[in-house]
Amino acid sequence: MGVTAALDYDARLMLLVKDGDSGSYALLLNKYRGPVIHFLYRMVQNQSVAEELAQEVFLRVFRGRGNYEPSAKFTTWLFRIATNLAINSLRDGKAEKNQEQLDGPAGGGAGLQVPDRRPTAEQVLVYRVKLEEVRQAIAQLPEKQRAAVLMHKYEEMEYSQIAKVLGCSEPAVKSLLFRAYECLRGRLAHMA
Amino acid sequence: MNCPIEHPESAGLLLDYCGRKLAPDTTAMLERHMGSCARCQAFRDGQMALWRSLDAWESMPVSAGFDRRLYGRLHGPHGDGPRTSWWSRFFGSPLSGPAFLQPAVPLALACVIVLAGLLVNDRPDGAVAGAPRDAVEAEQVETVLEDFDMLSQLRWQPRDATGAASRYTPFEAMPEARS
Repeated sequence: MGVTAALDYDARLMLLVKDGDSGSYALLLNKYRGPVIHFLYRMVQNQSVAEELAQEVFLRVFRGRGNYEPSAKFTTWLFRIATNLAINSLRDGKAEKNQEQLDGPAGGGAGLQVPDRRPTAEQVLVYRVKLEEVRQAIAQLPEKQRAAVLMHKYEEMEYSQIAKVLGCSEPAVKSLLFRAYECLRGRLAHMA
Repeated sequence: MNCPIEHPESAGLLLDYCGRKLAPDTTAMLERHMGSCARCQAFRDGQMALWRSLDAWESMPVSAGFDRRLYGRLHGPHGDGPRTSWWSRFFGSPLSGPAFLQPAVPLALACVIVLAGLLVNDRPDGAVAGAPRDAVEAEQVETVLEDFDMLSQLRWQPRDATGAASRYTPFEAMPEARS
């Protein structure tokens, strides 16, 4: 599901938060909790670190409410905070210290989410292997390429918005994505 | 139409085509081009396959206590979380009842329990109730003594100098018990 819809509404909610309306903050949290955590999880590939970073994102949203100006889309601002935190976390190596295994208890959410059609043990195994390969292929991308792919593929954000989040031009984002997908196609070609 | 692969500035066209984000006329134009361009066809097939592979990475569920932890941090000692109004602070929510009465509920319950206990103990037939209470106390003392005996039998004799295995020793046989 994309997160770019109903942008004016989000900006209005954020302006209400700025005016002290806690209900609007709860609405924004409810709407973007999932997308932010999923984005961070795919960036750092560790559930507990992703949730910790997501907490920091929403804390910063609240603490930065006084300076919020609806010059950009709300999601641009939100994902810029999330991306910066994720990249800093990756540079600090926090996520790598506690890298989850696919069958680890904390990673059970994504790792064990197989379609509810009573898959056989073989299907589950194939799914896990496939998922692990996807995770590793994305983890090997440089930080900016990884963020761009995740925002483009999973959050369905437009090039212009990704460019604002990453602080680069729109052609640069297209080039970034083109190279990232080229790399992923090479790494995951055997899965086709 | 220029081949998108040979012109990096229009490379986004192919990505948008695979993501089904192109306008119908642009889609038709690109499909005509792909009919005669093997490289673009290969790109499309590879990208579609990659898209399917990436779809395998589903979202994970968010842990149940996420909001509670967040609001805990916002309202914590150094937090500056969303403040509730004086109205809701005083009267609470419609479901939980007036806020100023909420701390009184456990206090009232505790008072009722204490009063009930006093009433039971101050019954006029206290003299009659005294005999069974004494019997109960004697039974409790016996039970405690029996438990003490059982525990003392479970005490381990410390290892001797030769390192022989420990064994159970009756409490009475132990030196400190005799002294």
